[in-house]
Amino acid sequence: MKDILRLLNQEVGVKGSVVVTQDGMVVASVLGVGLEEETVAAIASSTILNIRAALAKIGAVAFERMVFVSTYGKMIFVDAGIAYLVVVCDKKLNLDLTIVAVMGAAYRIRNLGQIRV
Amino acid sequence: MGLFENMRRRREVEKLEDQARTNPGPNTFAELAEKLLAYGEEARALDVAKEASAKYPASEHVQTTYQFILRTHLQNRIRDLNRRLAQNPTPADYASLAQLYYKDLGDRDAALETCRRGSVPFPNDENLHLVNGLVRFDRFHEDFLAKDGLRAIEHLEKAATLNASNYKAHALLAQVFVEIGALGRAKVSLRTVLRLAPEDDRARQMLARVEAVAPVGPTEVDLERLLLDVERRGSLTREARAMVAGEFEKPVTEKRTRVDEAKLAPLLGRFDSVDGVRGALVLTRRGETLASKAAGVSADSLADVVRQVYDVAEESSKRMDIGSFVRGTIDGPFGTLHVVELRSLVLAVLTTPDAKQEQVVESIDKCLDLLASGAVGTV
Repeated sequence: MKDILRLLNQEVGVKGSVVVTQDGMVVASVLGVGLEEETVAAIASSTILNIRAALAKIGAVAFERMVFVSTYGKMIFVDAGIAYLVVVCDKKLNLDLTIVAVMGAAYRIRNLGQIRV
Repeated sequence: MGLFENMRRRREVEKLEDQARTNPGPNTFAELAEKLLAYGEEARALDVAKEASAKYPASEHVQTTYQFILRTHLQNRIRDLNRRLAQNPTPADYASLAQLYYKDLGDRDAALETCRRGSVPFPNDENLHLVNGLVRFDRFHEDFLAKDGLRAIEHLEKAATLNASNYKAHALLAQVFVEIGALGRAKVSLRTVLRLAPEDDRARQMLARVEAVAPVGPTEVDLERLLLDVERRGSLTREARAMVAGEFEKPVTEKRTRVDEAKLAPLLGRFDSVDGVRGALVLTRRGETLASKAAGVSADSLADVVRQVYDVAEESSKRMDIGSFVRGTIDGPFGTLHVVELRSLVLAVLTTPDAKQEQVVESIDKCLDLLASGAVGTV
Protein backbone atom coordinates (compact mmCIF):
# COMPACT_ATOMS: atom_id res chain seq x y z
CA MET A 1 0.00 0.00 0.00
CA LYS A 2 2.91 2.34 0.74
CA ASP A 3 4.04 1.92 -2.87
CA ILE A 4 0.66 3.13 -4.08
CA LEU A 5 0.92 6.18 -1.82
CA ARG A 6 4.53 6.85 -2.86
CA LEU A 7 3.50 6.77 -6.50
CA LEU A 8 0.58 9.09 -5.78
CA ASN A 9 2.84 11.51 -3.93
CA GLN A 10 4.92 11.91 -7.08
CA GLU A 11 2.03 13.82 -8.64
CA VAL A 12 2.74 17.53 -8.83
CA GLY A 13 1.37 19.35 -5.79
CA VAL A 14 0.71 16.29 -3.61
CA LYS A 15 2.27 16.84 -0.19
CA GLY A 16 1.28 13.61 1.44
CA SER A 17 -1.27 10.84 1.57
CA VAL A 18 -2.63 8.61 4.26
CA VAL A 19 -5.04 5.70 4.42
CA VAL A 20 -7.04 6.04 7.59
CA THR A 21 -10.01 4.26 9.09
CA GLN A 22 -12.98 6.25 10.32
CA ASP A 23 -11.84 5.87 13.91
CA GLY A 24 -8.49 7.44 13.11
CA MET A 25 -6.34 4.34 12.82
CA VAL A 26 -3.61 4.81 10.24
CA VAL A 27 -3.32 1.91 7.79
CA ALA A 28 -0.48 3.44 5.78
CA SER A 29 0.94 6.87 5.24
CA VAL A 30 3.55 8.66 3.17
CA LEU A 31 3.74 12.25 4.30
CA GLY A 32 5.98 15.12 3.28
CA VAL A 33 7.93 17.41 5.55
CA GLY A 34 5.71 19.35 7.95
CA LEU A 35 2.90 16.80 8.01
CA GLU A 36 2.69 14.59 11.08
CA GLU A 37 0.97 11.26 10.78
CA GLU A 38 -0.87 11.53 14.07
CA THR A 39 -2.20 15.02 13.32
CA VAL A 40 -3.26 14.25 9.76
CA ALA A 41 -4.99 11.04 10.89
CA ALA A 42 -6.82 12.82 13.71
CA ILE A 43 -8.02 15.63 11.45
CA ALA A 44 -8.98 13.20 8.69
CA SER A 45 -10.99 10.88 10.92
CA SER A 46 -12.86 13.67 12.71
CA THR A 47 -13.62 15.29 9.34
CA ILE A 48 -14.95 12.03 7.89
CA LEU A 49 -17.06 11.25 10.94
CA ASN A 50 -18.54 14.74 11.16
CA ILE A 51 -19.30 14.96 7.45
CA ARG A 52 -20.99 11.57 7.49
CA ALA A 53 -23.03 12.65 10.50
CA ALA A 54 -24.04 15.85 8.70
CA LEU A 55 -25.04 14.04 5.50
CA ALA A 56 -27.19 11.61 7.47
CA LYS A 57 -29.58 14.53 8.08
CA ILE A 58 -30.63 14.37 4.43
CA GLY A 59 -30.65 10.61 4.39
CA ALA A 60 -27.23 10.18 2.82
CA VAL A 61 -25.42 7.29 4.45
CA ALA A 62 -21.95 7.87 3.05
CA PHE A 63 -19.83 9.83 0.65
CA GLU A 64 -17.49 8.52 -2.00
CA ARG A 65 -15.37 11.55 -2.60
CA MET A 66 -14.88 14.90 -0.95
CA VAL A 67 -12.65 17.79 -2.00
CA PHE A 68 -11.90 20.84 0.14
CA VAL A 69 -10.19 23.80 -1.49
CA SER A 70 -8.70 26.21 1.02
CA THR A 71 -6.62 29.36 0.74
CA TYR A 72 -3.27 27.59 1.03
CA GLY A 73 -4.00 24.02 0.09
CA LYS A 74 -6.43 21.28 -0.80
CA MET A 75 -7.62 18.06 0.83
CA ILE A 76 -9.09 15.12 -1.01
CA PHE A 77 -10.92 12.26 0.73
CA VAL A 78 -11.86 9.12 -1.20
CA ASP A 79 -13.67 6.05 0.08
CA ALA A 80 -11.29 3.14 -0.43
CA GLY A 81 -13.35 0.31 1.02
CA ILE A 82 -13.07 -0.05 4.76
CA ALA A 83 -10.77 2.97 5.02
CA TYR A 84 -10.45 6.36 3.39
CA LEU A 85 -7.61 7.65 1.27
CA VAL A 86 -6.82 11.21 2.34
CA VAL A 87 -4.53 13.36 0.22
CA VAL A 88 -3.10 16.71 1.27
CA CYS A 89 -2.06 18.94 -1.61
CA ASP A 90 -0.77 22.45 -2.16
CA LYS A 91 -3.00 25.13 -3.62
CA LYS A 92 -1.44 25.10 -7.08
CA LEU A 93 -2.39 21.50 -7.67
CA ASN A 94 -4.46 20.96 -10.81
CA LEU A 95 -7.46 19.13 -9.40
CA ASP A 96 -8.72 17.91 -12.76
CA LEU A 97 -5.46 16.12 -13.44
CA THR A 98 -4.67 14.88 -9.96
CA ILE A 99 -8.13 13.61 -9.10
CA VAL A 100 -7.67 10.90 -11.73
CA ALA A 101 -4.49 9.71 -10.01
CA VAL A 102 -6.16 9.88 -6.59
CA MET A 103 -9.16 7.86 -7.75
CA GLY A 104 -6.80 5.34 -9.36
CA ALA A 105 -4.87 4.99 -6.09
CA ALA A 106 -8.11 4.52 -4.13
CA TYR A 107 -9.21 1.86 -6.62
CA ARG A 108 -5.93 -0.02 -6.22
CA ILE A 109 -6.15 0.20 -2.42
CA ARG A 110 -9.70 -1.12 -2.52
CA ASN A 111 -8.51 -4.00 -4.68
CA LEU A 112 -5.77 -4.94 -2.28
CA GLY A 113 -8.51 -6.82 -0.48
CA GLN A 114 -9.28 -6.77 3.20
CA ILE A 115 -7.27 -4.13 4.97
CA ARG A 116 -5.85 -5.59 8.15
CA VAL A 117 -5.54 -3.10 11.00
CA MET B 1 14.37 31.32 -38.80
CA GLY B 2 13.42 32.90 -42.11
CA LEU B 3 12.92 36.55 -42.86
CA PHE B 4 9.18 36.09 -43.42
CA GLU B 5 8.78 34.31 -40.09
CA ASN B 6 10.55 37.21 -38.38
CA MET B 7 8.29 39.71 -40.09
CA ARG B 8 5.19 37.72 -39.17
CA ARG B 9 6.24 37.64 -35.51
CA ARG B 10 7.04 41.34 -35.56
CA ARG B 11 3.57 42.10 -36.95
CA GLU B 12 1.90 39.98 -34.29
CA VAL B 13 3.75 41.76 -31.50
CA GLU B 14 3.05 45.18 -33.04
CA LYS B 15 -0.64 44.34 -33.31
CA LEU B 16 -0.78 43.42 -29.62
CA GLU B 17 1.21 46.55 -28.71
CA ASP B 18 -1.34 48.63 -30.63
CA GLN B 19 -4.18 46.93 -28.78
CA ALA B 20 -2.46 47.56 -25.45
CA ARG B 21 -2.23 51.27 -26.36
CA THR B 22 -5.70 51.75 -27.85
CA ASN B 23 -7.71 49.29 -25.77
CA PRO B 24 -5.70 48.63 -22.64
CA GLY B 25 -6.92 45.84 -20.43
CA PRO B 26 -5.54 42.99 -18.36
CA ASN B 27 -5.94 40.38 -21.07
CA THR B 28 -4.31 42.54 -23.77
CA PHE B 29 -1.25 43.12 -21.62
CA ALA B 30 -1.05 39.49 -20.55
CA GLU B 31 -1.27 38.29 -24.16
CA LEU B 32 1.41 40.75 -25.25
CA ALA B 33 3.74 39.55 -22.48
CA GLU B 34 3.06 35.91 -23.33
CA LYS B 35 3.75 36.51 -27.01
CA LEU B 36 7.00 38.35 -26.27
CA LEU B 37 8.13 35.47 -24.08
CA ALA B 38 7.18 32.92 -26.71
CA TYR B 39 9.31 34.81 -29.26
CA GLY B 40 12.32 34.84 -26.94
CA GLU B 41 12.11 38.49 -25.86
CA GLU B 42 12.27 37.59 -22.19
CA ALA B 43 13.42 40.95 -20.83
CA ARG B 44 10.64 42.87 -22.63
CA ALA B 45 8.08 40.25 -21.64
CA LEU B 46 9.08 40.72 -18.02
CA ASP B 47 8.80 44.53 -18.30
CA VAL B 48 5.32 44.33 -19.84
CA ALA B 49 4.13 41.72 -17.32
CA LYS B 50 5.52 43.73 -14.41
CA GLU B 51 3.78 46.89 -15.61
CA ALA B 52 0.53 44.95 -16.08
CA SER B 53 0.87 43.38 -12.64
CA ALA B 54 1.06 46.82 -11.05
CA LYS B 55 -1.83 48.15 -13.17
CA TYR B 56 -4.15 45.16 -12.73
CA PRO B 57 -3.44 43.59 -9.35
CA ALA B 58 -6.83 41.84 -9.29
CA SER B 59 -6.49 40.15 -12.69
CA GLU B 60 -5.69 36.46 -12.27
CA HIS B 61 -4.60 36.22 -15.92
CA VAL B 62 -2.10 39.05 -15.49
CA GLN B 63 -0.80 37.81 -12.14
CA THR B 64 -0.38 34.23 -13.40
CA THR B 65 1.42 35.47 -16.51
CA TYR B 66 3.68 37.75 -14.47
CA GLN B 67 4.54 34.94 -12.05
CA PHE B 68 5.24 32.57 -14.94
CA ILE B 69 7.52 35.03 -16.76
CA LEU B 70 9.28 36.01 -13.55
CA ARG B 71 9.75 32.37 -12.68
CA THR B 72 11.15 31.67 -16.16
CA HIS B 73 13.49 34.61 -15.71
CA LEU B 74 14.64 33.33 -12.32
CA GLN B 75 14.68 29.72 -13.40
CA ASN B 76 18.44 29.57 -13.84
CA ARG B 77 19.06 30.81 -10.34
CA ILE B 78 16.48 28.39 -8.91
CA ARG B 79 17.97 25.50 -10.90
CA ASP B 80 21.45 26.37 -9.71
CA LEU B 81 20.37 26.52 -6.05
CA ASN B 82 18.43 23.26 -6.30
CA ARG B 83 21.42 21.56 -7.89
CA ARG B 84 23.66 22.75 -5.08
CA LEU B 85 21.12 21.64 -2.48
CA ALA B 86 21.00 18.19 -4.03
CA GLN B 87 24.80 17.85 -4.03
CA ASN B 88 25.96 19.68 -0.94
CA PRO B 89 23.11 21.29 1.01
CA THR B 90 23.88 24.33 3.12
CA PRO B 91 21.50 26.41 5.25
CA ALA B 92 22.51 29.50 3.30
CA ASP B 93 21.37 27.97 0.01
CA TYR B 94 18.06 26.87 1.52
CA ALA B 95 17.54 30.37 2.89
CA SER B 96 18.49 31.98 -0.46
CA LEU B 97 16.04 29.77 -2.31
CA ALA B 98 13.28 30.47 0.22
CA GLN B 99 13.98 34.22 -0.02
CA LEU B 100 13.93 34.06 -3.80
CA TYR B 101 10.52 32.37 -3.77
CA TYR B 102 9.20 34.76 -1.13
CA LYS B 103 10.58 38.12 -2.22
CA ASP B 104 11.14 37.78 -5.95
CA LEU B 105 8.34 35.44 -6.90
CA GLY B 106 5.83 36.16 -4.16
CA ASP B 107 5.31 32.41 -3.93
CA ARG B 108 4.77 31.96 -0.21
CA ASP B 109 3.90 28.28 -0.48
CA ALA B 110 7.16 27.44 -2.22
CA ALA B 111 9.05 29.56 0.30
CA LEU B 112 7.42 27.72 3.21
CA GLU B 113 8.08 24.37 1.59
CA THR B 114 11.75 25.28 1.14
CA CYS B 115 11.97 26.37 4.78
CA ARG B 116 10.38 23.09 5.85
CA ARG B 117 12.83 21.07 3.74
CA GLY B 118 15.76 23.08 5.04
CA SER B 119 14.72 22.88 8.66
CA VAL B 120 15.09 19.07 8.64
CA PRO B 121 18.89 19.04 8.22
CA PHE B 122 19.33 22.56 9.68
CA PRO B 123 16.77 23.03 12.48
CA ASN B 124 18.72 25.89 14.04
CA ASP B 125 19.29 28.14 11.08
CA GLU B 126 18.33 31.70 11.92
CA ASN B 127 17.55 32.75 8.34
CA LEU B 128 15.25 29.82 7.65
CA HIS B 129 13.29 30.65 10.79
CA LEU B 130 13.18 34.30 9.78
CA VAL B 131 11.79 33.61 6.29
CA ASN B 132 9.34 31.11 7.76
CA GLY B 133 8.26 33.76 10.28
CA LEU B 134 7.91 36.41 7.56
CA VAL B 135 5.71 34.19 5.41
CA ARG B 136 3.51 33.28 8.37
CA PHE B 137 3.38 36.94 9.38
CA ASP B 138 2.08 37.82 5.88
CA ARG B 139 -0.43 35.01 5.93
CA PHE B 140 -1.65 36.07 9.36
CA HIS B 141 -2.45 39.51 7.97
CA GLU B 142 -4.43 38.00 5.14
CA ASP B 143 -6.85 35.70 6.95
CA PHE B 144 -6.06 36.40 10.62
CA LEU B 145 -5.84 32.70 11.38
CA ALA B 146 -4.51 31.98 14.86
CA LYS B 147 -2.31 29.16 13.59
CA ASP B 148 -0.45 31.49 11.22
CA GLY B 149 0.05 34.04 13.98
CA LEU B 150 1.31 31.41 16.38
CA ARG B 151 3.73 29.95 13.84
CA ALA B 152 4.94 33.46 12.94
CA ILE B 153 5.70 34.15 16.61
CA GLU B 154 7.38 30.75 17.12
CA HIS B 155 9.69 31.16 14.12
CA LEU B 156 10.49 34.81 14.78
CA GLU B 157 11.24 34.05 18.43
CA LYS B 158 13.49 31.19 17.36
CA ALA B 159 15.33 33.50 14.93
CA ALA B 160 15.68 36.10 17.70
CA THR B 161 16.96 33.47 20.12
CA LEU B 162 19.50 32.16 17.64
CA ASN B 163 20.70 35.70 17.01
CA ALA B 164 19.80 38.18 19.72
CA SER B 165 20.75 41.02 17.35
CA ASN B 166 18.23 40.04 14.68
CA TYR B 167 16.54 43.42 14.38
CA LYS B 168 13.92 42.31 11.88
CA ALA B 169 12.75 39.40 14.01
CA HIS B 170 12.38 41.61 17.09
CA ALA B 171 10.61 44.35 15.10
CA LEU B 172 8.10 41.93 13.58
CA LEU B 173 7.52 40.30 16.97
CA ALA B 174 6.84 43.71 18.47
CA GLN B 175 4.31 44.47 15.76
CA VAL B 176 2.44 41.20 16.06
CA PHE B 177 2.38 41.47 19.88
CA VAL B 178 0.87 44.96 19.63
CA GLU B 179 -1.64 43.78 17.05
CA ILE B 180 -2.96 40.94 19.19
CA GLY B 181 -2.91 42.91 22.45
CA ALA B 182 0.06 41.18 24.14
CA LEU B 183 1.30 44.60 25.21
CA GLY B 184 3.70 43.45 27.93
CA ARG B 185 5.50 41.24 25.42
CA ALA B 186 5.36 44.06 22.84
CA LYS B 187 7.17 46.42 25.22
CA VAL B 188 9.99 43.92 25.76
CA SER B 189 10.42 43.47 21.98
CA LEU B 190 10.22 47.21 21.29
CA ARG B 191 12.89 47.94 23.91
CA THR B 192 15.12 45.33 22.28
CA VAL B 193 14.50 46.94 18.88
CA LEU B 194 15.49 50.32 20.31
CA ARG B 195 18.59 48.88 21.92
CA LEU B 196 19.63 47.45 18.53
CA ALA B 197 18.60 50.54 16.57
CA PRO B 198 18.29 53.62 18.85
CA GLU B 199 17.43 55.78 15.82
CA ASP B 200 14.29 53.80 15.02
CA ASP B 201 11.60 56.48 15.47
CA ARG B 202 8.79 54.18 14.48
CA ALA B 203 9.65 51.78 17.31
CA ARG B 204 10.05 54.69 19.76
CA GLN B 205 6.62 56.09 18.85
CA MET B 206 5.01 52.66 19.03
CA LEU B 207 6.54 52.05 22.44
CA ALA B 208 5.24 55.42 23.67
CA ARG B 209 1.72 54.58 22.44
CA VAL B 210 1.84 51.13 24.05
CA GLU B 211 3.11 52.53 27.35
CA ALA B 212 0.35 55.14 27.35
CA VAL B 213 -2.27 52.41 27.03
CA ALA B 214 -0.64 49.79 29.24
CA PRO B 215 1.97 51.25 31.59
CA VAL B 216 2.18 47.88 33.34
CA GLY B 217 1.53 44.89 31.13
CA PRO B 218 2.12 41.24 31.99
CA THR B 219 4.66 39.43 29.87
CA GLU B 220 3.14 36.05 30.67
CA VAL B 221 0.08 35.92 28.46
CA ASP B 222 -1.85 33.22 26.66
CA LEU B 223 -0.85 34.08 23.09
CA GLU B 224 -3.02 31.37 21.60
CA ARG B 225 -6.12 32.79 23.29
CA LEU B 226 -5.30 36.31 22.05
CA LEU B 227 -4.73 35.00 18.53
CA LEU B 228 -7.99 33.05 18.60
CA ASP B 229 -9.77 36.27 19.60
CA VAL B 230 -8.35 37.94 16.49
CA GLU B 231 -9.33 34.94 14.37
CA ARG B 232 -12.91 35.06 15.67
CA ARG B 233 -13.14 38.80 14.94
CA GLY B 234 -11.55 38.36 11.52
CA SER B 235 -9.66 41.61 11.96
CA LEU B 236 -7.45 43.57 14.32
CA THR B 237 -9.07 45.90 16.81
CA ARG B 238 -9.11 49.61 16.01
CA GLU B 239 -6.92 50.27 19.07
CA ALA B 240 -4.31 47.78 17.89
CA ARG B 241 -4.25 49.33 14.43
CA ALA B 242 -3.90 52.79 15.94
CA MET B 243 -0.97 51.65 18.08
CA VAL B 244 0.81 50.14 15.09
CA ALA B 245 -0.09 53.39 13.31
CA GLY B 246 0.49 53.06 9.65
CA GLU B 247 3.17 50.43 9.88
CA PHE B 248 0.69 47.85 8.77
CA GLU B 249 0.27 48.91 5.16
CA LYS B 250 -2.60 46.73 4.09
CA PRO B 251 -5.88 48.40 5.05
CA VAL B 252 -7.97 46.24 7.30
CA THR B 253 -11.64 46.62 6.70
CA GLU B 254 -14.27 45.48 9.09
CA LYS B 255 -16.32 42.70 7.58
CA ARG B 256 -19.87 44.00 7.40
CA THR B 257 -22.63 42.23 5.54
CA ARG B 258 -25.60 44.15 4.17
CA VAL B 259 -27.46 41.84 1.86
CA ASP B 260 -30.83 42.55 0.32
CA GLU B 261 -32.47 39.20 1.06
CA ALA B 262 -35.29 39.87 -1.41
CA LYS B 263 -32.74 39.84 -4.23
CA LEU B 264 -31.32 36.49 -3.18
CA ALA B 265 -34.43 34.48 -4.12
CA PRO B 266 -34.25 35.40 -7.82
CA LEU B 267 -30.53 34.68 -7.68
CA LEU B 268 -31.21 31.14 -6.50
CA GLY B 269 -33.97 30.95 -9.13
CA ARG B 270 -31.18 30.65 -11.71
CA PHE B 271 -30.78 27.05 -10.58
CA ASP B 272 -34.36 26.21 -11.67
CA SER B 273 -33.15 25.84 -15.22
CA VAL B 274 -30.32 23.50 -14.28
CA ASP B 275 -31.33 19.85 -14.43
CA GLY B 276 -30.82 17.81 -11.29
CA VAL B 277 -30.61 20.61 -8.72
CA ARG B 278 -32.42 19.47 -5.56
CA GLY B 279 -31.74 22.49 -3.45
CA ALA B 280 -29.80 25.74 -3.23
CA LEU B 281 -29.29 28.13 -0.38
CA VAL B 282 -27.32 31.09 0.87
CA LEU B 283 -26.20 31.29 4.49
CA THR B 284 -24.07 33.74 6.38
CA ARG B 285 -20.78 32.30 7.62
CA ARG B 286 -22.30 32.31 11.09
CA GLY B 287 -25.00 29.94 9.83
CA GLU B 288 -28.02 32.22 9.43
CA THR B 289 -30.15 31.21 6.43
CA LEU B 290 -30.72 34.16 4.07
CA ALA B 291 -32.46 32.34 1.23
CA SER B 292 -33.19 28.76 0.30
CA LYS B 293 -35.11 26.63 -2.12
CA ALA B 294 -35.38 22.88 -2.09
CA ALA B 295 -37.25 20.09 -3.83
CA GLY B 296 -37.44 16.57 -2.49
CA VAL B 297 -35.44 17.52 0.56
CA SER B 298 -36.32 19.69 3.52
CA ALA B 299 -34.81 23.18 3.22
CA ASP B 300 -34.15 23.24 6.98
CA SER B 301 -32.37 19.88 6.90
CA LEU B 302 -30.29 21.00 3.95
CA ALA B 303 -29.37 24.21 5.77
CA ASP B 304 -28.36 22.12 8.82
CA VAL B 305 -26.14 19.93 6.66
CA VAL B 306 -24.49 22.87 4.95
CA ARG B 307 -23.86 24.63 8.27
CA GLN B 308 -22.18 21.53 9.66
CA VAL B 309 -20.22 20.81 6.48
CA TYR B 310 -18.97 24.39 6.33
CA ASP B 311 -17.93 24.37 9.99
CA VAL B 312 -16.15 21.01 9.63
CA ALA B 313 -14.39 22.09 6.42
CA GLU B 314 -13.28 25.39 7.97
CA GLU B 315 -12.05 23.71 11.14
CA SER B 316 -10.24 20.93 9.23
CA SER B 317 -8.54 23.42 6.92
CA LYS B 318 -7.28 25.46 9.84
CA ARG B 319 -6.08 22.43 11.78
CA MET B 320 -4.38 21.04 8.67
CA ASP B 321 -2.72 24.44 8.31
CA ILE B 322 -3.95 25.07 4.77
CA GLY B 323 -5.78 28.33 5.51
CA SER B 324 -9.50 29.05 5.34
CA PHE B 325 -12.03 26.91 3.51
CA VAL B 326 -12.98 28.35 0.12
CA ARG B 327 -14.85 25.73 -1.83
CA GLY B 328 -15.74 22.06 -1.60
CA THR B 329 -17.69 19.24 -3.17
CA ILE B 330 -18.96 16.03 -1.65
CA ASP B 331 -20.02 13.23 -3.99
CA GLY B 332 -21.92 10.10 -3.08
CA PRO B 333 -24.91 7.97 -3.99
CA PHE B 334 -27.08 10.89 -2.82
CA GLY B 335 -25.64 13.18 -5.51
CA THR B 336 -23.25 16.08 -5.11
CA LEU B 337 -23.17 18.83 -2.54
CA HIS B 338 -21.31 21.99 -3.55
CA VAL B 339 -20.38 24.44 -0.80
CA VAL B 340 -18.69 27.72 -1.68
CA GLU B 341 -17.65 30.57 0.55
CA LEU B 342 -17.76 34.13 -0.72
CA ARG B 343 -16.54 36.63 1.86
CA SER B 344 -19.26 36.64 4.52
CA LEU B 345 -21.64 34.28 2.71
CA VAL B 346 -21.85 30.58 2.00
CA LEU B 347 -23.59 29.33 -1.13
CA ALA B 348 -24.55 25.67 -1.33
CA VAL B 349 -26.16 23.58 -4.06
CA LEU B 350 -27.32 19.97 -3.78
CA THR B 351 -27.76 17.96 -6.96
CA THR B 352 -28.89 14.50 -7.96
CA PRO B 353 -26.22 11.94 -8.97
CA ASP B 354 -27.06 12.34 -12.67
CA ALA B 355 -26.87 16.15 -12.78
CA LYS B 356 -24.42 17.61 -15.27
CA GLN B 357 -21.82 19.01 -12.89
CA GLU B 358 -20.26 21.34 -15.50
CA GLN B 359 -23.60 23.15 -15.80
CA VAL B 360 -24.03 23.26 -12.04
CA VAL B 361 -20.53 24.68 -11.53
CA GLU B 362 -21.12 27.23 -14.29
CA SER B 363 -24.33 28.41 -12.61
CA ILE B 364 -22.60 28.56 -9.22
CA ASP B 365 -19.81 30.68 -10.72
CA LYS B 366 -22.35 33.06 -12.29
CA CYS B 367 -24.08 33.35 -8.93
CA LEU B 368 -20.76 34.11 -7.25
CA ASP B 369 -19.99 36.78 -9.86
CA LEU B 370 -23.33 38.44 -9.13
CA LEU B 371 -22.82 38.23 -5.37
CA ALA B 372 -19.30 39.64 -5.72
CA SER B 373 -20.49 42.45 -7.99
CA GLY B 374 -22.71 43.82 -5.21
CA ALA B 375 -25.94 42.96 -7.04
CA VAL B 376 -27.49 41.85 -3.75
CA GLY B 377 -25.63 44.22 -1.45
CA THR B 378 -22.35 44.14 0.42
CA VAL B 379 -21.21 40.58 1.10
